[in-house]
Amino acid sequence: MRRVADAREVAEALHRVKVEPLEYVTNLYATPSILEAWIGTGDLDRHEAAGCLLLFRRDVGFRHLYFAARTREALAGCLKDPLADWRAETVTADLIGRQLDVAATVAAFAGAGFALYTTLVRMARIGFPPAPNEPTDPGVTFAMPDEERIVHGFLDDLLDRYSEQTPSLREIRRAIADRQVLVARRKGNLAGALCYATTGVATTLRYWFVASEHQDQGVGAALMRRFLWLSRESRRIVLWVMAGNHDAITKYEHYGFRRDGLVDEIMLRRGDAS
Amino acid sequence: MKTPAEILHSIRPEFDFALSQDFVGDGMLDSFDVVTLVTELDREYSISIDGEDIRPDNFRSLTAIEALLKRYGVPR
Repeated sequence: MRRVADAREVAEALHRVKVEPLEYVTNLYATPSILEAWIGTGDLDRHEAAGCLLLFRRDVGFRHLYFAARTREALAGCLKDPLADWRAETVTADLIGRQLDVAATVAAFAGAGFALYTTLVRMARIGFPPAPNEPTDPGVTFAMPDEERIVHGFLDDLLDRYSEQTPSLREIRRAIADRQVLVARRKGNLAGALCYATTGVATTLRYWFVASEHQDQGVGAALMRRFLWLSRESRRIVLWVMAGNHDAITKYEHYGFRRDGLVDEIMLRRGDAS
Repeated sequence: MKTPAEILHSIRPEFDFALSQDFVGDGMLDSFDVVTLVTELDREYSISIDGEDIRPDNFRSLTAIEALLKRYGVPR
């Protein structure tokens, strides 16, 4: 692997890789600004072989793998290279698409020693009418700047690091400053949190969690009602949820969310050194 | 042959792209949608949009998409 020094390197590598219009495969959806943020923090490395580019973003104790390959065969060959130094580390890869469309790529990863860790499904709420009245639960407010560590710790305790990508403290700080983090308090304690991001007419619900000791007390519902009120101008709201979390899926369906056919098959390979 | 507007509608039927001059900034196309759009354009017009051209600026509006296609020899 080599550290990526600038976005131009990635662009030139993609230029070398993408020459076959009907066979190109990728899971690299990061915008140039996001790529530049990763490069800026020194968290991005690359590995390139014939017709295949692999990018590795460092996380705590593992790396996220992004790929762009001329063909699926080029991808499979690159992943199987026994001498590649990245194989010593634990690596995850998100394979996003319609389930039938990603099956062959899942097989390519499985052939290189990756196993399916979990599957996420995307749900969307489209064009729903706004809530009739503004919710008034006084325990639900926007998170304050001095709560960034509490919110970060709350999420860090609850989220699965391989599939749910715990936000960094910096990301939480920015989201709080953008008034996109709701917290629910009960008797002064943090009982639940909901984080989202709005771009124009679309909103992504990133996290919606209630502490175990406060479940079945209406905390989650209060957060969701407030969130839907605040997002009433959004034409489309999307979220990702674990396919096996039937309880959460039922709750989301209650609020008008429906699966939209997209899945994220999260593949994991434990490092040879672990 | 589908037009770029028809392809956009097939990806995100819930949005009226005629109302926007910034599909990405207005949230109508997310990063996954852009990659899907590139795949559909490649397939529909038998071209291969270069990796360097897969950036939001080239997909912000119908005008930008048509200008991109013109560079790849697709007539308007």
